[in-house]
Amino acid sequence: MKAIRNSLRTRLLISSVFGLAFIIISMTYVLFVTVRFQRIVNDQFQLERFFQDLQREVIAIRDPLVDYLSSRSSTALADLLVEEQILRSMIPADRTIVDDPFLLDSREIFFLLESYLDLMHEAIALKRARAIEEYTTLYETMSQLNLHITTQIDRISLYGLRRELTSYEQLIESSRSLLFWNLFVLVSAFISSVFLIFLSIKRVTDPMHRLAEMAGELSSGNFEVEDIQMEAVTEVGVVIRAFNRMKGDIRQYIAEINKQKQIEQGYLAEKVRNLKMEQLLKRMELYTLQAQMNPHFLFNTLNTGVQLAITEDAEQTADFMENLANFFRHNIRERDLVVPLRHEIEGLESYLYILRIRFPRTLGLSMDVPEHLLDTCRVPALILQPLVENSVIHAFKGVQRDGTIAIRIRQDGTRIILSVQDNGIGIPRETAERLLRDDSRDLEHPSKVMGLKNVIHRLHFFFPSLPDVVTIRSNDGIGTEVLITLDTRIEACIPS
Amino acid sequence: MRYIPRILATLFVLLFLIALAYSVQSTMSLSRAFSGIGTEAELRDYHVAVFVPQAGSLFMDRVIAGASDAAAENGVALTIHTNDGDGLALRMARYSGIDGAIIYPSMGESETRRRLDELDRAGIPAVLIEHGVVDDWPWTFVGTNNFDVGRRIGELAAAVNGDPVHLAIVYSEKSPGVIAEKELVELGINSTLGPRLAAPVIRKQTGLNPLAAENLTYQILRTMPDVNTIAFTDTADTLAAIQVIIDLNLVGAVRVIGFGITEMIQDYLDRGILAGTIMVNPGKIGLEAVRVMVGMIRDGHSPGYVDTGVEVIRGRP
Repeated sequence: MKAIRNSLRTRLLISSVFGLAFIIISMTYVLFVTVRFQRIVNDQFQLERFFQDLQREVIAIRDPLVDYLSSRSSTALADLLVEEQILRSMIPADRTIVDDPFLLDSREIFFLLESYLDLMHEAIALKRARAIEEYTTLYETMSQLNLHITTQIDRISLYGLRRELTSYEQLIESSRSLLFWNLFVLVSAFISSVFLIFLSIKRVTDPMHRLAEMAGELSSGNFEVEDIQMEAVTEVGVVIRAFNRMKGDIRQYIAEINKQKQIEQGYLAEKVRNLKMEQLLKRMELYTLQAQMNPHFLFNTLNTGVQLAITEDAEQTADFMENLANFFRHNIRERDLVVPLRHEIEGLESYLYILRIRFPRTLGLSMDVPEHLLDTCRVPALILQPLVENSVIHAFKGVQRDGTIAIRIRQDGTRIILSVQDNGIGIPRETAERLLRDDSRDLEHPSKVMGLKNVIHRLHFFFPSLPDVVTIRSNDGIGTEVLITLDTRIEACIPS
Repeated sequence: MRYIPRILATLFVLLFLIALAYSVQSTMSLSRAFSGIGTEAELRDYHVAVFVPQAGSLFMDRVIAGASDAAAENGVALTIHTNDGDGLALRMARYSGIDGAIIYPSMGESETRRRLDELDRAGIPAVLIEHGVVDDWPWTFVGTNNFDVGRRIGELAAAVNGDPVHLAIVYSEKSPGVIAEKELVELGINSTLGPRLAAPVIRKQTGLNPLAAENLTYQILRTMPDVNTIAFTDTADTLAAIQVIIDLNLVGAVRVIGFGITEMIQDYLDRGILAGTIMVNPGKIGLEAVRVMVGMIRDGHSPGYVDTGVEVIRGRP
């Protein structure tokens, strides 16, 4: 019930109805007073009008009386009786004696009139009895009485009129005062209603105005304003509570976002630091790896051996030593991270010669490289030799048949596919997947990353946008093929 | 600032209430003032009509005032009728529903007797005031004994004059009761002065004109130089005559006996211009008349005769 009373709709309805009712009641009151005033004015002259009518009837009865007494006609008698009835109906039954000259004179007139009517019946009876002298005398008395009645009516009418005129001034003065106060009633009722409605509307709109102010504060980013604490209608109260709650929630969310932002900024800074560290580690790793392949002393020694083999006419030994020296030279002199394919193939051919010398019957080595790709393609340095070496070391453990290793390079549209395939024991699926996975634990032990894993890591490092830059196809007991797929449109990502 | 609308609203509501209160008060006072004739009039037990001469005078006003006082005391409502030319009001009195009639007999005695008889036949009691009528039936009378009036005039004339006294008496239509019994008045004068009267009392009369006595006095003094005392029977005549005495420088030479009392007459008395004034009590006449009438209505009988007395007033030393 209280909620209904306090609702916006009820408030506005009540204030409007109350204001209008206030004005309507005031106007009704003024109308009532005006009607009452008119009735008072009308009553003022009512008695005068009545006596005027009475006098007219008193005069009107004279002719029928004379007519009847002179002619005794039934028509005159009927007229006379009609007039009598009219006059008797005008005589009031209550003729109380009061101390008022006007009413006392009126009382006398009514008695005179009643006596006149009684004498009229007496005259009629005398006429019927043909008592001529008596009804003639009576007629004279009646004439005097009739005259006296009309004179008395004139007198009291004049008296009444004078009295009314005396009070007329008072009436006008009172009516002027009444009209003034009535006007004042209407004006003050109207203005009071306007103010009452205004107060009611203000009570409803004040909280909304405060809400608008707070919305302005919030829109300017000030969420520290205090909650609105105002008495308001139900609907506005709901809005205020929701607004206060919303403001608190937003303030809390902003605080959380700021906190998260700070955490994220810290996290990003840490991540950047980690990445830089990682890059540094990788470079260090690369340099270390390259350093491992830089045995200058051995290279110089091999050159000396080649000179010695030539001096002794040991041509095969000299070729072997020369290829071995080329292989090392290739490795030692190579400082670029990405090299032309020809450079990579030349180094690989020296390595394959050495292998053919080492495994002349048990290992078949073949290489299929289109000539036109040798100078048009660039590949990361030392990515094929470790794969061949990996096959030589791991693929043929416990295998009785002859091993073959095939190196193929082909172009498929924009892709360059480098393949090293062996017919060894194969790599278990789990091992292959583990090798391909970029395991962070390996970063912690870069010195242990050798062979195939080294190649995979470097390829992933140079081509982070090519997740399938290296794939392994392996069948248990049949062989393994390591595929390197490069896109000629994508340059290797080399840190500066 | 925020309380201004509330203060203004309260102010205008208060103004509304004040205006409403004044409006209601005005309406109620208007209603009371014009709520109809006689609504505030008191109920009375009897309706008595007073018939007085057509011409109004101070004497009659006082009679009516006295009657009104007694009427209020005794629960009587009074209506006042003037006996116009043909006395129609009195003739029709028997038909007017009154409980009693107080009559100042200003018409002829026979006419008065007829009306009294008619009222008597209609069962309406009547009281005569100021003077009675000669009739077989002792009609109830309240008023002054005019013999006493004459006696008082005689005593006063004797007191202010040495022998002989040449007295002129001026009657007036404004005091018809005295005129009606002028023989009785003169009988009183003669009985008092007796041999001191140098000549029979000179009888004069004025009309209803309040200034009529001025010319009459002038004529008396011019044509009757022996007159040394003039007595009046009306207050207006007294005042008019004094002017002539003063104008003719006859103050002290001609003694003036006035009638009635006013502030001016009292002043003339104090200054010795007037020798004295005869004071009948008209208020008492009206008062006693109503009391007697109430007694007649209630008890069916009356004392028959009530003398309201005569008084002589002299100047204050």
